Amino acid sequence: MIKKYFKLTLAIIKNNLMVLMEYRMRFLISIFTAAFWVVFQLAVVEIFFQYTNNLFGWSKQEIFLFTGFFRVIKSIFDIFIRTNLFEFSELINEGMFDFVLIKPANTLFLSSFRKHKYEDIPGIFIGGYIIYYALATMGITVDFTILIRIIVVILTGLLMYYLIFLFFSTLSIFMTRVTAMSDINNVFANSLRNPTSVMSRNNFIADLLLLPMAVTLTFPVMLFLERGNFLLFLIEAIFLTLVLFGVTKFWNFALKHYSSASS
Amino acid sequence: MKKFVTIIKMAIIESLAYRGDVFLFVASGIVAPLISLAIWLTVSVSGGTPPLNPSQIISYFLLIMVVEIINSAWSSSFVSADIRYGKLSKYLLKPFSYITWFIGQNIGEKVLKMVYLTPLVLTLLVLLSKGHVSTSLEVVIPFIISLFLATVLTFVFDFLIGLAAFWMQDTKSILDFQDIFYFVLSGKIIPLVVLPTIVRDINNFLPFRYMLSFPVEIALGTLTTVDIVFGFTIQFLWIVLMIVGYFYLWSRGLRRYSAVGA
Repeated sequence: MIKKYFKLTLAIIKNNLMVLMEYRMRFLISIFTAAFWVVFQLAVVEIFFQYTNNLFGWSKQEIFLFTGFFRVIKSIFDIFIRTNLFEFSELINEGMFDFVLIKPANTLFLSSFRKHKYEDIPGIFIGGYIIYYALATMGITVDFTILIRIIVVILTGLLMYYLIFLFFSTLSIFMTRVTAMSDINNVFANSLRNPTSVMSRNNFIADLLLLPMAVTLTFPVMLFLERGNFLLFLIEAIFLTLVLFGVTKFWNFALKHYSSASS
Repeated sequence: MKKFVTIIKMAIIESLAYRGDVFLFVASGIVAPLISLAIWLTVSVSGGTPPLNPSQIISYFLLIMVVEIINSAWSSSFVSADIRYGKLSKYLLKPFSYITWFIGQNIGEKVLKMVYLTPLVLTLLVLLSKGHVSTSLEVVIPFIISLFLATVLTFVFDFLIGLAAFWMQDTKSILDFQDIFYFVLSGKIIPLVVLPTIVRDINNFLPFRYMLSFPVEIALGTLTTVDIVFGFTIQFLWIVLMIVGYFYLWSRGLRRYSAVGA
């Protein structure tokens, strides 16, 4: 089984690299667009801090750290997952999802990881540099332990990000068309660049509404910076587990109720 | 005219068939500016003194929310795909122009979006009448005119980006750059007043401000009569340029266009 999926993954990577070679210029331009986006995001942070020296208790360096983590998570998501989930609705609408269902591999795996966009790789390096820079300005040296904690934050955020968009993609099976994924992605992107407490200001209802975003990045970064406690870790772990369980169940439920547009 | 009305009706019917999807679009359009609003309000309560006071910040982003949904355009990626995959051919045979189809689709879908948006607009009218938005005719009339022109400008600009597919195999990069410039320079994420002066001065001659921020600035009463006249002039000039550009690019593009199969 593992050998099968390993071979399948290699084949997927090979196919997608061939597509990248077809559009080489896109990769070069993506370096500029990724850099430009990050410069803009950092400039917005600088603009905020022209008028205040902290955002609801968060310093500029900590907000930069958020920007860095967000950029890495989003880049990885954009490379391996985004195209698949965003085009999922089209597969359903045009009856092409049947061709994914009949393939001898896990449907969720194929639906989520079939197409890659390697032109978003520069974003990972740019985000990684911002994380390194932010930590350096906070006097934190990146050693092995810190590196492991960075990876844990990224993986936690990536998992939650994936689950949120898997949920919206799965809605396509019932709603037939969900083409608002890019707009929803922009909303999440906007909200993940800052700690949720900056937006909610500890208002309970706002905190509740922003809980998915908080679990994606705010709580992991708070734990990373040792600004959280065991209770926060517990909330993070329980919520993430519940979402993982819930979204997977929802996916399986949706598949059982899927009816093809083509047959 | 009858064909145009029919296209709009078809678009309304299609939107009603996918009303959940349209609702998600409207919801995203509402939430995004609210996030920026929340952050700017936090700047205020964190002891900061941004150039807009909290009341103005609220008015600004609520107006951005409404204006953006009204003047939104999304045809570029569809135009690009139609050209690249040869689907344009079927539209060339139809008894109306290709751009008419997209204008009708745009208007039709917005009819349903306005149904979702109306409760928000009504709430807005109640809230903003206590804020920094004047409901006098001297403000409302230029606001409506600038909003209409912003809608036209946004649509034609977006359509032109799609036409690049006649010459380029891959238009994703252009779409990405369009997004970047729009995000940065239209006032969607941050009020343009907080940008450095030199950036603002250059931006006054670019089309992005006139797609979103300009109508909002009129409604907020932050512009003098001279500013408004200047803004209308630039907005109108860009529209003329875009329309001329459309006719030129469309005729040149069609000469290059070829599609396999019927």
